[in-house]
Amino acid sequence: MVTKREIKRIIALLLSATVVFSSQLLTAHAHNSDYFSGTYTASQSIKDMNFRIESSAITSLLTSQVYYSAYAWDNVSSNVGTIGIAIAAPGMPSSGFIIVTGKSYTDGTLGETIPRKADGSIANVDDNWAGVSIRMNTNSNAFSGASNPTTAAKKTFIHEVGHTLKLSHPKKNSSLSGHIYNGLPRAVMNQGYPNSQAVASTVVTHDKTNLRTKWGT
Amino acid sequence: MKKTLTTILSALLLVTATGCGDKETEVTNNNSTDKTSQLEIVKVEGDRVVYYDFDSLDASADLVVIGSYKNDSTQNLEYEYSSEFGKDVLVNAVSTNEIEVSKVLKGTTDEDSLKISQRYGIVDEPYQLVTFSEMTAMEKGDEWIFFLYYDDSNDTYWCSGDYTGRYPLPDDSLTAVCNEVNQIREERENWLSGKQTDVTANANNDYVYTSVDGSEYSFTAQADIDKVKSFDERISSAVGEVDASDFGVYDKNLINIELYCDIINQYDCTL
Ligand SMILES: [Zn+2]
Ligand SMILES: [Zn+2]
Repeated sequence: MVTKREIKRIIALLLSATVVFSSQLLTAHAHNSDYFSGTYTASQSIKDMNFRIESSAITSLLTSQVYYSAYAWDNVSSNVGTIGIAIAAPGMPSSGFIIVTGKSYTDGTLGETIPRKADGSIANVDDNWAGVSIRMNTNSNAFSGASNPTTAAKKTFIHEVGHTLKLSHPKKNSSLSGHIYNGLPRAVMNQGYPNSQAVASTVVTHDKTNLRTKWGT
Repeated sequence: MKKTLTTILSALLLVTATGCGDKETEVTNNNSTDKTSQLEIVKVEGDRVVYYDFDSLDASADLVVIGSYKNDSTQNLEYEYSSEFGKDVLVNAVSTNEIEVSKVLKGTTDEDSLKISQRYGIVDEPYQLVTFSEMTAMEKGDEWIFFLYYDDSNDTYWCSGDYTGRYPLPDDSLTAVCNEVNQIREERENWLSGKQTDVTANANNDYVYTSVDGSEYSFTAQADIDKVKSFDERISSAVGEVDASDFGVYDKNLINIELYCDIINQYDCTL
């Protein structure tokens, strides 16, 4: 027979275990070198991130399914919540969105996140941002070096949305916890095709931990 | 009311503080020779193909040369209308520079000089060097080892994997660093020779090390993890005195010293 007092003690134990567990989750792989400082100002809010995919960003490889893959960031942090992805169509409002356009690059760029000040000029990564613009490489050769071009394209858009959420590239440093692949962690925020163990194809623990440390659980 | 004022004041202080933290530099570029004011450098983040080891870097390059920057360049700034900001905003910048070739290490070229493009440009309003590249902008007197691939659609060369395709010439101090790094790597190879290479055999690995030849080693024993990390730490401290600017990158973390030592071992970079 379990007494009320024992139940209380068990609950307290469970609670403290939860606290320890969640705080460990928070600190285990969180490195302040893995995210930018600053926040969003002006109309853009981290709690209400909506992306509008312009027709220039749609190709036979970069389909709506590629863009919907960024839902992988949903509910990782309650302060970020869920993100919205809208494929642009005539009559759709254009304000309140982060605009995603396409461009043919030949320099090895897969995608880019351009942070902006309130006047539209380029902002420093660690400053407050009024908004960002995302560009995806629509060159047909851009993802051909990947073992799976569709997976690589999804990874790039998830990565760009990660930059929009102020995450940076993890630093190569094997003394940081979780940086277990020649000094890099497994993360979608690493650069390049997801052909190696360190470059994840979607949001994984290291990315989630940094997002929660940046914006709250 | 008082609280609001304090909030506004601290917000102002914050803005001022970050403003002081901005990197400022003078760029010797013909685009800016008439400018005397300080230039703000802003770097755009992205995802790109980069090379982590010598073999894949070398395979990606049509041409490997030592070349120096000639003081002439053209830049292309691209603007796009933004409904969010209600005006045209900068979305791309490309500078194309003439590089005088002093030595060809791989491939052939009949040209004495090559056109090499890099994703940066100088904007007047506000006065900024906007870079989409991790490499520093070309400056007068620059001389680098370039891993280049040809882009026929734009009739220009690009550095392979951006910052992974441009390196400094080995002066005395860099040669000394490489000698030390090579010695540490040799010790590491000797230590690794007795270790198992099949990562999949051990799904719970705590550290995975991929050696230069592509062999993967998986470690779960703390003593092994500490040992393999200690080699990394020794290599990092050997790099200690090398600056980001020596490697022409904005972030010191981007220096891959082992890859650099392989280049120096592989190619005769003396002029
Ligand atoms: Zn990290
Ligand atoms: Zn990135």
